[in-house]
Amino acid sequence: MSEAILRTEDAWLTYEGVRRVTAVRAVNLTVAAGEFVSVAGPSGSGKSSLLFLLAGLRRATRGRVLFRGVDWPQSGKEAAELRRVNLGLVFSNPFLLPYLTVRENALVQAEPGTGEGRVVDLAGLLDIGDVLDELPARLSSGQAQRASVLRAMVNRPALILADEPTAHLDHESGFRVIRALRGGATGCTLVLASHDPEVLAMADRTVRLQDGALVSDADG
Amino acid sequence: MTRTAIQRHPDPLRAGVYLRRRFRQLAPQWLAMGLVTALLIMVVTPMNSFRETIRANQYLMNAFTVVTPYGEPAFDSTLTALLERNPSLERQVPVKVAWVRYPMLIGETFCPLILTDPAEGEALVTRLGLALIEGRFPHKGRREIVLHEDVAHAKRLAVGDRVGPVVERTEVGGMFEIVGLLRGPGRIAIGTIGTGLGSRFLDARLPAYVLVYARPGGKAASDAYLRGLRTADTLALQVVDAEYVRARTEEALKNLPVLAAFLTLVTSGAVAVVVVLLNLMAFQARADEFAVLLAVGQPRSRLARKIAAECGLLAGVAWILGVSVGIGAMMLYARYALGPRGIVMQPLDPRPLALSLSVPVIAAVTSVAVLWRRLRGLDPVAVIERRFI
Repeated sequence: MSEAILRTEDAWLTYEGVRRVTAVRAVNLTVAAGEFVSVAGPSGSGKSSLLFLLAGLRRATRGRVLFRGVDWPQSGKEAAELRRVNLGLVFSNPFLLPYLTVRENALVQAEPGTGEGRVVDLAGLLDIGDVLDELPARLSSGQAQRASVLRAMVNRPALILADEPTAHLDHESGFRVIRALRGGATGCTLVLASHDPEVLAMADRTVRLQDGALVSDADG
Repeated sequence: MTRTAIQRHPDPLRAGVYLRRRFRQLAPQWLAMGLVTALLIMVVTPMNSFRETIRANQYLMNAFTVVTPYGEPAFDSTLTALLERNPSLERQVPVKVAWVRYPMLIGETFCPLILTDPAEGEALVTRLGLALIEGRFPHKGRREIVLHEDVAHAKRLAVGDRVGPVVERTEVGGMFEIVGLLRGPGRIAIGTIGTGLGSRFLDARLPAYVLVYARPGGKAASDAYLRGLRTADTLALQVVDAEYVRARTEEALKNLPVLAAFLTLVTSGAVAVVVVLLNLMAFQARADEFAVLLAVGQPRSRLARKIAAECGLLAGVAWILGVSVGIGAMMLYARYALGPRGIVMQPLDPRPLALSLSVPVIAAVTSVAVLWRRLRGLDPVAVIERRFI
């Protein structure tokens, strides 16, 4: 097995509020570099919360979350830099900046020296090459989601975390997005949360969550 | 996979991109700041009409100095001798001086009505660089005056009108007939001295003045000499020179800056509140944008700089628009409203422009402070999760 890119050790995530809610409980998970891991589970099982933990957007209330063997930095600035350079994030909503073209949205996450050629190549792969200079308002939902995948992949990230990326798409569009994530992210690690059995079946490995706890971890 | 030639990309998050593409959506902000800037300029600029009007009166003092005895109705031989010993004196002309009251933007001002010999009157007009643009000069022995056109306009007077000793149309008897209009940088009226019973009666009541013409280049020395003249340990003369008029002007206008500063602060504060509220609404509408930018790894400090640049640029553009509208309106106002009333105003006045800078500065600074605070408290995950529901 390749070196672990992500590891959680007894990771808990608890929200303190009017009611104390534990979204992730005692999760021990290791993801190897280059692996495609799908995260399954019913709504409210903690899939999104686990992804936010893995992305360093939430700090574990207990336990540890390690990226390449190192805990997520305490400093917001260092964590942001680590995320910008190494991670690609895809959400169920594309979250494109409405006043930027598809090309510019992709470049938001790009390293300063990134060539536009990388954007053009990826856009071709994602089948959105013809809408690169369009504003998001003129895109279909499938194109918009692929544009968000383009943004996630532009930096050649080591890890892509995708949370229900096909949730609002029809079957065909959803598959194009997954194919793009698989094809465009060759060599990169993909952790994807989904309800869709067909999407889950494409993964190398599927982990299941129930009430925030990891209840199964199986290949394929 | 084909690779296109590598090109460096411009930063898509630069403030100009956002402002250019969201120009219409940002209309409430730049309209609020722009219109208040214009309003401020339109309120403060006309105040310079007071200064400009008085400056037109003050201009006369570049050509001559007027002196009158302190506490005496006329010059005695001692005083006359002292005046003649002025080393910078070119010549002196005895005159009587009345005052022509005419309206300013608010209240009234005065320009001198010099009653003198007609030949001296014409010489004075030439010395002041004024031109007779209508009618003729007064004739000796007739109760006639020439009047500066701005003063005539301000008082709705024309050649042929008859006016009294303080040049009011309504005065009984109409003592002088306006026979000509003058044009030029200094406002003055010139009439004949010692004409008719009425005017002799008037002349007797008016204090005696002397117009002192200094030699070329000797005005300052002449004025200093006149100001220093003393009889029996008291000042001998009241000297009306450029310095005297400037001091009087400053005294008369000293409270205008207080009013202008107050107006500026109040309007800037009010517009800052409005702009902050509008910017907060805009920030709320952009919560997704900032949340996703934070999530994908843009540091808060960079987003804070982006907000500051956007607020600064927006305020700057709004200020330029406001200044353009304000100055344009002032040009039209000066030409079509004030000009016909004989009121001089400088539409391009640096003081209101400097004061109006407080509008974008206060609005931008308060907006940045409030939005930074919002940004610091923004939880990107909470925003992203909300959109899942």
